[in-house]
Amino acid sequence: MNQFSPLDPMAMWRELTAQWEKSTNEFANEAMASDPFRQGMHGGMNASLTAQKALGDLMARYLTLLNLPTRADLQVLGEQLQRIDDHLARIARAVEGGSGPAPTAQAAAPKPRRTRQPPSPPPAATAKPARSTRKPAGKRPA
Amino acid sequence: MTTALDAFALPDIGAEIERAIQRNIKGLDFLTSATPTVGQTPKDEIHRRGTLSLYHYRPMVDEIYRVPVLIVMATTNRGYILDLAPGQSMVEHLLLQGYDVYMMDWNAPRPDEKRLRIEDYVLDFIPDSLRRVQERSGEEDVTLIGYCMGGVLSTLYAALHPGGPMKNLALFTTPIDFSHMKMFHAWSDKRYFDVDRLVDTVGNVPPEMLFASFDMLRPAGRSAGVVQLWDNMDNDEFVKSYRMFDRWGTEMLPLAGEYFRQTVKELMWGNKLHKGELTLGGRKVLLKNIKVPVLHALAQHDHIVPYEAGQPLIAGIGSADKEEVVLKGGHVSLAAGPNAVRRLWPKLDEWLGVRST
Repeated sequence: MNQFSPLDPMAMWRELTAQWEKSTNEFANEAMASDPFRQGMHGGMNASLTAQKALGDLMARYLTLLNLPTRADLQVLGEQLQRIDDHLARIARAVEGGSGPAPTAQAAAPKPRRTRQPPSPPPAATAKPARSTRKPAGKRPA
Repeated sequence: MTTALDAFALPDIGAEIERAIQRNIKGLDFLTSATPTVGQTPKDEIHRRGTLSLYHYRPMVDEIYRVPVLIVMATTNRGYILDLAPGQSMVEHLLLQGYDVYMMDWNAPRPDEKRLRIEDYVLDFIPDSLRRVQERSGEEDVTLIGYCMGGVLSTLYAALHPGGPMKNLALFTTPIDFSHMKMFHAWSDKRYFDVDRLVDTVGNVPPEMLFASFDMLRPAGRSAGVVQLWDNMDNDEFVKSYRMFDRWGTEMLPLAGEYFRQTVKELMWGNKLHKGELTLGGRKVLLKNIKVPVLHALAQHDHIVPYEAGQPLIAGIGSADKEEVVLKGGHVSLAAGPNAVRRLWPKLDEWLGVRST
């Protein structure tokens, strides 16, 4: 338990909040791991999914009657547009590849040298090369 | 005459009154100001394909390590958790230490991407991104860093590609034995959870549902967080940090339907990765095939991936050079925030530096 002044109401409040959080989480986790909770949660979800599907089917039939595109029709259309977009991007890349890519700010900047060395190798790495450094599996600090 | 008790108590009360006034003033600021900007480290999107965005962060020093680093972000969340703000960014830290940093970040999958499977991530997105990193950097070797499910995908890739190109593998809070993710296991109980009906009805799994699942792990956490926020309302740094973490926590991504179905059936129900029974692209995923140097960082108080869920990784891989560290903190504070600045980031740099030349 944290040390706090008995005359500091905020410290007391903090302590109470921390305890409330801990005990509520523990209680709720226990309750939510129970069989009735799982059953109820998924029962509710299944009912919601059934309703969602029924409503979706009904709307699709209604829109078809009105000769309007359904959500599924729009998704198919979207997928076709995406495919065209991907093809165009590939063509653009191929064309750019032929004429060389446009220089970006990053490309124009001088590239850093890839010669950096670690400032001071840790003792284990100094003793042996990195590849042969075998460290205990499952090492867990106390 | 002033007693010792008065001398002790009066300044406290005065300070509390002062803080209460400050809270009210800052509280108004909180309500009227915008959420802090996140992900400010300069970067270029070098490739985008549907749900995948591959970023290259611009180097911040003149001399960098030879081996570039590719971070694979968790598929449920945005990558900016590793680049919250200057001084609170793992990406910025790595850049300043001299690493060449790339990140596979995820966008919300499009409706037609509901068919994406784990295979698409492991056998297509990761190899494709590695190839692009190789091309851009001009280096054959690449280090993979995976966070949470990004760690699982990186592990699957490493097990199926023992020949590389991968020089090192660093993983944060990566579950292997899914039976120890007790609450997720309970909620995905196959007697009641009809994952087929869910995926067949909604396509991509909505982020609200995923958010609710994560939130239910600590049902009082959000309320306690708000109380803590109010208590610290006069502390600008605390408030800024709270808002960034809160934004990240609520800004979850939908999951591709087939990917979710496979995760539930094969990883959660079948626990096939741990049992060595998982097959991807016709090949069995065996942890013992991983031979590269591996670092696995786990959090002591991780309520999402408990130690027991991540522990079998190091024990199961075939690498000679492998290390597991358990650091103070939780699932998120391990990788981001003040705790990470003190613990994980220096550890990662110390481990990776000598293996990046």
